[in-house]
Amino acid sequence: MNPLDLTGPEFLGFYLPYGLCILALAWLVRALLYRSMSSPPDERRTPGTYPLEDDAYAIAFLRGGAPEAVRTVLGRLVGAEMLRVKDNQVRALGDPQSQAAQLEPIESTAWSAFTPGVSYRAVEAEQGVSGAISTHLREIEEELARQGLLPTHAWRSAFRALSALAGLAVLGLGLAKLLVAFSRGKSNVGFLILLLIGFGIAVIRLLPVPRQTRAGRRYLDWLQESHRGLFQMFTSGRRGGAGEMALAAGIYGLAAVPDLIPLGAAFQPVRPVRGDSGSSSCGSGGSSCSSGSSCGGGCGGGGCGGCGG
Amino acid sequence: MADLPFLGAGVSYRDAWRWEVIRHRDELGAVECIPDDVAGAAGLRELVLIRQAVPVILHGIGLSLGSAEGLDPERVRHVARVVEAVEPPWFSEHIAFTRAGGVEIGHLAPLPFTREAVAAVAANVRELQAALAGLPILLENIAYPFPLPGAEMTEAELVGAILESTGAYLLLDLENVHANALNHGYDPIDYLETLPLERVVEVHLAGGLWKEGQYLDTHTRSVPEESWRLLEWLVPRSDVRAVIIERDDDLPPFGDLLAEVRRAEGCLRVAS
Repeated sequence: MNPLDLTGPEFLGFYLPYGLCILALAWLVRALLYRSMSSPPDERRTPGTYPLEDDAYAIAFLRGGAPEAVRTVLGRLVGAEMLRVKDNQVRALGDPQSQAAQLEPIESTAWSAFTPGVSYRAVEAEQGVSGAISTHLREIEEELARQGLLPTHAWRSAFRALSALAGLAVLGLGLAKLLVAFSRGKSNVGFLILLLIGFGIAVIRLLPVPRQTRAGRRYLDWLQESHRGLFQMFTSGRRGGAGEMALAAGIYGLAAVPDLIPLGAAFQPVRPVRGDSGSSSCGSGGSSCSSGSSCGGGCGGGGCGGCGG
Repeated sequence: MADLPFLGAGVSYRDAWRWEVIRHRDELGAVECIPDDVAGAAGLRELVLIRQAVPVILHGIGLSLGSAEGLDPERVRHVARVVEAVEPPWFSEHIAFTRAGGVEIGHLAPLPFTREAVAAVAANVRELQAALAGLPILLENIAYPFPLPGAEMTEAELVGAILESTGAYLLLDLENVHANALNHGYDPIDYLETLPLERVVEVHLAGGLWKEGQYLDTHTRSVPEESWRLLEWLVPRSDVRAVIIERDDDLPPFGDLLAEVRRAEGCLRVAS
């Protein structure tokens, strides 16, 4: 039986369970792949080992990738009063020679992207720092992958191949049927197009490349649980040092530190609130406290002012 | 005693210092937590998270070891659960009672200095030792506003007799010694010399204040010089494994507390 020769209703009756089966199978294989990613535990970054303040950038990278690491570095410079944020503008302050001496290499490299006395749009500042510290970011990513906290390139490729295969099997058949229908002069393909869109969304949502490995997710969960005291220190109005601010921002996002909320908001302009938006204030879409399932832990207690939108 | 670890100086744990304790973990030999305050699985989990940063020792306040009617089984089970989760090197409680006739009296009350009191505490400590699977038990001297009538021995003799009959060690609260000496008009060194100092494992330091003619160990002030001098006297004469700075109210900046921890650590290191 060639499914492409089926009539419209017959094809839909076949295609729906076929697509669901393929997606379910791919989802299962993805779960097995996810569980298979393992490497010897690294004592420096494992639940139960408290990080140093300098680990803030690696933690931010683990939580949200390079963008979160860049924003955490910016947060550190704001905490050190080398940058000031106002009206979505980032202004470089002070004398770079005297202040840069106290910075870690990644921070001083980031600082080199600024000229004291000059104001930058937040996006420009982010792009400038991102370019300046790209080598550091690559090293952080490689280190996290070595430590088994981020998927290696090989694992990423495997996950991508799986979604591509599933997508091809499901969407390929549907698209082929669509072409056949058009070639036979049929135009009643509305349900098929709806199914194609639904399956396309399902492939993207159900089969993404995981951001962290299981060990990475566990470590991040532990960090967010064990540093609630740090989170509460800031949300209760007490001020910490620049290193503590960076650590809190690395673990929870910029919105966890009141002094860094303007910075977080600068990357995420507040949009008018619409009654039908239905979106969470801690939504994962580009929020400065985005980290998938971890967002809830970091944004509790009213410290999520910068996550709007 | 030789098996008990040397921890050094630390602080009593307060929720407000949750982050500071973790941040300054390298400067703290231990934090002392009160199991009576641990509520549910979340409380236990929190203690385990703290223990991952700093050694935790447990200090009970509500077992009422001096109660003639015996221990409250539910409280003992709770302490055992916390001990199992935290695995401290020892557990400490007070030589006092907090419950009489089934009624909680809400504070640590002194025992009469009698053989009957020694027997009651000894029986309770043995029950506790069995419930905690042989974990070393430390017993703490308390401050008392006035001696109860009918004493058959001195306070120091009461403490010594209890330790001897139970095999427990001594948690010596030097601020309580300081307070008792002031309130009852004796020389604290004379008192200390009558205690079995070889059984001292842990020391408590705190600061109190004068109120209505009595010096109260309120844990609301920095450690007075008199108590520091008692520690300096004590350390070369015993084998102290931990000193805890206690603070319950009027919490200072954590840096002030760390300064006291460093001073206590200095006292311990000079002796070793």
